[in-house]
Amino acid sequence: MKTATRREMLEKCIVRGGLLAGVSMSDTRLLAFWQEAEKSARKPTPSEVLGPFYKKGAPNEAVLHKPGMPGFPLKVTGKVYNSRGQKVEGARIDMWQADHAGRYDVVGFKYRTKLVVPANAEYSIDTIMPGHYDDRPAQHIHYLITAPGHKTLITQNYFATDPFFEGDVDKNFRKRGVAENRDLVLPVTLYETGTPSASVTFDIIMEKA
Amino acid sequence: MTVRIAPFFVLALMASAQDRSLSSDADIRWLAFSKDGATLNAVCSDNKLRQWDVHSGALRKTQEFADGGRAVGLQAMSGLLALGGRGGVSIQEIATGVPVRKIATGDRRPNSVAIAPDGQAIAGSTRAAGNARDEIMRLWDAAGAQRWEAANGIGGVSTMAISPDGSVLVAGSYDTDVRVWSTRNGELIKLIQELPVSMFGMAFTPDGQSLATAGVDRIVYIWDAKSWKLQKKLTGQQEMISSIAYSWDGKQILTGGFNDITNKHPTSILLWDVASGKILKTMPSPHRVASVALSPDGKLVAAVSGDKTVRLWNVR
Repeated sequence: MKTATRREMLEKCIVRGGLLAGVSMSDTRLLAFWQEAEKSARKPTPSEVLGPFYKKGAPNEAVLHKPGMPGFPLKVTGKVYNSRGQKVEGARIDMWQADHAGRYDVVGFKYRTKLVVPANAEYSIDTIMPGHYDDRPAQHIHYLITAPGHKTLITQNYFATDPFFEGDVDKNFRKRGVAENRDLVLPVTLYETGTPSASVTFDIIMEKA
Repeated sequence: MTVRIAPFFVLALMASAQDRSLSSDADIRWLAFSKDGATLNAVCSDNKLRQWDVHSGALRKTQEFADGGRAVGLQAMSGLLALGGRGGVSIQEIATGVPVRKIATGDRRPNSVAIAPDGQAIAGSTRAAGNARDEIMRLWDAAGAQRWEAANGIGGVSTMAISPDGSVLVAGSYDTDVRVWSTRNGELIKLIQELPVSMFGMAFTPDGQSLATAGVDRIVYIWDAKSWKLQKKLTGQQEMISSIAYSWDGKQILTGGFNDITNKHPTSILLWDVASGKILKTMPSPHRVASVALSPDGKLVAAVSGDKTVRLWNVR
């Protein structure tokens, strides 16, 4: 493994906010800072296309799947961090997806939310597995995430259980140019007791502005 | 006994069957009538331009794009086509196939562009470097000099146009905002943020006094192209609107639909009277409408729907 030089350690610690420029420090102390920064550093969530169906003005709503509505229940949970591994305060998650039949609500706000993320930076959205549609035949959910002091993140997540990936996500995630990044195809937990449902965990890593 | 008629059949009965069709060997992306109305030009997915005699329906000519480029923009009223190729964007007159000029855009060649009606400038938006989806709009003059660049929101351009007098550039973004810049110096003249959804098409009246935009919410918005205030909304299209064109006298608007389930679902093409907001004619389309055009005399509607057929209707 390549050993970092003192200069590289200093640069990384400063860039990631673990150290202020101009502070003098022993090599041992600097190494400890650098190792801590390396441990907590997180790669920003890859961005993906915004797509044509983003709609402004969605309500702040965590439960999008109401009783009696068709679709396979899905819970999306996660935390919003920055690339230093710190929780991000004041994030808003604009989320939109197709319904079970692969249709976006372009008139109202069905399966659309602009969620205020609580102070603990953890979010949870009750929705359904999005349906398939011809133009983008993999199930996916869109996100536009904003937070004070951070770059706006536009991304999507996909589902490893989607038949589109033919049981081999590594091989097929780029099929038909649908997903751009393997990391965005999430493992799915299925629950068979009671009403069958699914859940995914989607931690969001934002970059400082 | 009450007889119930499904809405689709009502629409089908009201809709007018096409009067004729023209066939191509490749899918057609854009349509433009020649200025004299005698020729219908089609930009096709096989990088060829097909030209039909409107009167006889005969295919007059099929020609390769100049320099082997691919189509990135169309100025229908001026009959100019922009081709993206090595080192820049070529502008050619589609009626004759004659290259008008080549604008060197370097390694920042945009994927889609707006062309000034006189072909003296092009504008294009590209994604900025990095993980963010920020966009940068650039405008080049005929000599290939970049006149200016400006931040252009996030998510990419959904539609753009340059005014008939060449003075302003308008771009709609997938973040739903519409920006209006001075083509001369890049000054942001107006930022329209009240639209809730993306616009998929826009068209200026030939006199440049108004701009019509339409998209996801099925509404045609008509803007005063000086004050940039909303003048009027036209409602009645049952699907999202994917394409729009003004008649050459600016009194009518033609819109093409895009079903929100899939582009393979039937949609409609509507001819509107702008002053009254009334729908003058409804024409069926088998799929999402890719491009619409009205002949210069206003008598003929042409539309393509992501396939190899041009559908024509007599509307007067």
